[in-house]
Amino acid sequence: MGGGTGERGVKSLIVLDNEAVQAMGSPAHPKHQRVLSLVQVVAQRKRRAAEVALAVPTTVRAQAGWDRTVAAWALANRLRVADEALGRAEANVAAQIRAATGVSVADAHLGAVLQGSKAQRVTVLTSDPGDVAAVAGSRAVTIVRI
Amino acid sequence: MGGLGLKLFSIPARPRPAGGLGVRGARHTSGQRGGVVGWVGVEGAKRCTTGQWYNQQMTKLTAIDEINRLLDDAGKETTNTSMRLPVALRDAAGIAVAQLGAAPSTTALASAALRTTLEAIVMQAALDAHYAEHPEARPSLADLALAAAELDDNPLAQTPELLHQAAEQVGRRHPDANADDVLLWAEALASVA
Repeated sequence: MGGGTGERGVKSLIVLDNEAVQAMGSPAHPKHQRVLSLVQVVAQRKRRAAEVALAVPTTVRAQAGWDRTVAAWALANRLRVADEALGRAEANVAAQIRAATGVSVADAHLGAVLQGSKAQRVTVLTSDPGDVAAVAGSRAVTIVRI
Repeated sequence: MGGLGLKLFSIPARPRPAGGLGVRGARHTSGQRGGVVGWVGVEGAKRCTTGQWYNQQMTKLTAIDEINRLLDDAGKETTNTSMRLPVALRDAAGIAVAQLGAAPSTTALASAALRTTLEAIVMQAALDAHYAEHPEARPSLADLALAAAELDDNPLAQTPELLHQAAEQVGRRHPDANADDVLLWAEALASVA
């Protein structure tokens, strides 16, 4: 699923970090059920017409090894997780975040997605709350530790 | 269906994996996977339903992938449909657009609602298919309640024991309860504690 979530103006955006992606994609991952419980709640709320969307920054997806053309990622591909691409504007913000914090490119891109989101509420599923807090800047973000 | 302007797609029958049914066939036990896989009597004989289950799962997965492909299709092509809507529903949508600014048009309102519903259906179908294959991955009602509390930044997320208790009580009387039902009951329990 590509295209991002920006054009649809969702009220609530839930962004996955590297380990959340890996846990979602692999039944063998120790946090698989944990991440699925969060995705399951999103599905139930969408069924009640809540404007909520799942997203992954494309560099995070690359870091996690999520290739949408590979059958091993079939479950993740089916769960309506939108790609948030690293375009010109996002790359500039990510470069600023990386220069200021020294985080990885993927985390800097995650920060750019958080800071640029038009959603009223932004949540991150992460195993590293400290990094997320560092890259979110002044953007209010709900951090869910997986 | 043709009157709806929908393009029908065919779901090809998937061949079974080479060498038979693989792992699923190897652990063939009546009553597994919610009773879907097992043996049924046919005119006095018994017939294995594992292949039938496999084909049903493959058909569902193919349908999920096709719906996802169509939802992701960014094409601007539209169609007039002869889909029949109740007049009152159409009029209510018109008022919501004109007077409440619910959407730029009734078409946009209907499309957004249909998209959201289809996304929810396809996500749940994908999860259900995964749970059928990996029953151990299915979260409990208490897991879901905790997840819902965390997503909402609800203080109840700090009281997992209370959520577990609430999930047990709600689930006992309401087998179809969801995470938000449990949160509501947990709030009630917390308020009288």
